[in-house]
Amino acid sequence: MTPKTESSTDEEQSTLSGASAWRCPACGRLLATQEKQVALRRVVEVGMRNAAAGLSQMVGQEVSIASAPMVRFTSIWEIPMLLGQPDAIIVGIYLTVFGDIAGHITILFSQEQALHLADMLLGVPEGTTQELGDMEMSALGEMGNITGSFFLNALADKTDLVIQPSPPTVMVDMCGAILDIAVSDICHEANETLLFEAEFLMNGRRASGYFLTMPNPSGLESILAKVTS
Amino acid sequence: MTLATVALGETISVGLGEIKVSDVDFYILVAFGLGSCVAVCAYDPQKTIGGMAHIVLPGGDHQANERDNPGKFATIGVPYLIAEMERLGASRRRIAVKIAGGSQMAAANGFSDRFAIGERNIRAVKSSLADQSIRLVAEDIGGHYGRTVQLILKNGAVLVRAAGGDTRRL
Repeated sequence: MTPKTESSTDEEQSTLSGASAWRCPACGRLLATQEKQVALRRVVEVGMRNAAAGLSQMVGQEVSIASAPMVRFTSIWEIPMLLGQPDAIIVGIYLTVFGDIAGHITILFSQEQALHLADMLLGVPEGTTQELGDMEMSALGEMGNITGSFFLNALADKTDLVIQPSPPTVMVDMCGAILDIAVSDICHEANETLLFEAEFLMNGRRASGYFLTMPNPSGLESILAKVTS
Repeated sequence: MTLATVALGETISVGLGEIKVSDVDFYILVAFGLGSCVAVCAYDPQKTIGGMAHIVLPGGDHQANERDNPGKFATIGVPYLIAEMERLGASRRRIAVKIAGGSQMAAANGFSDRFAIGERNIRAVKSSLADQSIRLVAEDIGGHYGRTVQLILKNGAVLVRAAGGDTRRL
């Protein structure tokens, strides 16, 4: 969903082109000026790089993020379709975010990538892991824990908010069903969400995994109130 | 997948919070990848009119503002679905409903879903059906896995495919 473009006030004027202020689609209230969005993008990028660095330490290999992370305001109804067919079987690691803000972290891998990641996490040669048993699931959970904590630490640091992740839950299931956890919670309050989205690259291989963060609407307001450029 | 569980027809996707109703008998209404959501599949066998609601939440404070997403809440989605079918000529005395979904996804590893949305969705759908005096004839609910649900308008069959598992016919 494209954020509504309204006749701009001085507050919204920005030197950046191509962006517009985010408004509440229900009431039209200003949620974030373009300056706030730029500040938020910087914070999210620092957080995602921190998460990649955490994963890199864990696997002992270079992990980076593909280009700049996406930060966008989107319709909640589009979330299940983010990775294509909502009933494709994938591997998801889910963490609830709590503290001063509430939200959700969902990390998604294709089954093939999850096996590959399990090899790296367990320090065995590539191609060794053929299925995800208890040990592999636990390693993937720990990976979610590390990346989630590293991301949230950076976010907490930049916003002066206390933000923590819950223990991870690892699921091999339909993509839409896994994303339902975040979607059903957020849509109690709103039909739109802010989505922070990054793609991890491991050893330069693309599409290794998607790291999605969605603050609840009240959490989004707290974050926007605290980020400064 | 065995032959008995392969549906032939034109697939119409029913997304989150959507309600679709039709009397076109080669349509197959499908909700893909349901977790805590519930697919409410209603069918009038005499008129071959069917409808599906993709329910996301039991009820809520903002329900009056949900004109674009009538299926978001069970409390308004179920009556809306039945009313739309009646508009096409279905009779609520003949309508039979089958439901599927309502999982508790995050409970899979002993970590409990703090709001138990799946369970509450099922309860809300059932009580809404009872309020409307609509018969619930079959269900495939709960558990900790996703489902894809198809309603075949030709015969009212509901096919439920579980994540990584079999397809069940309701």
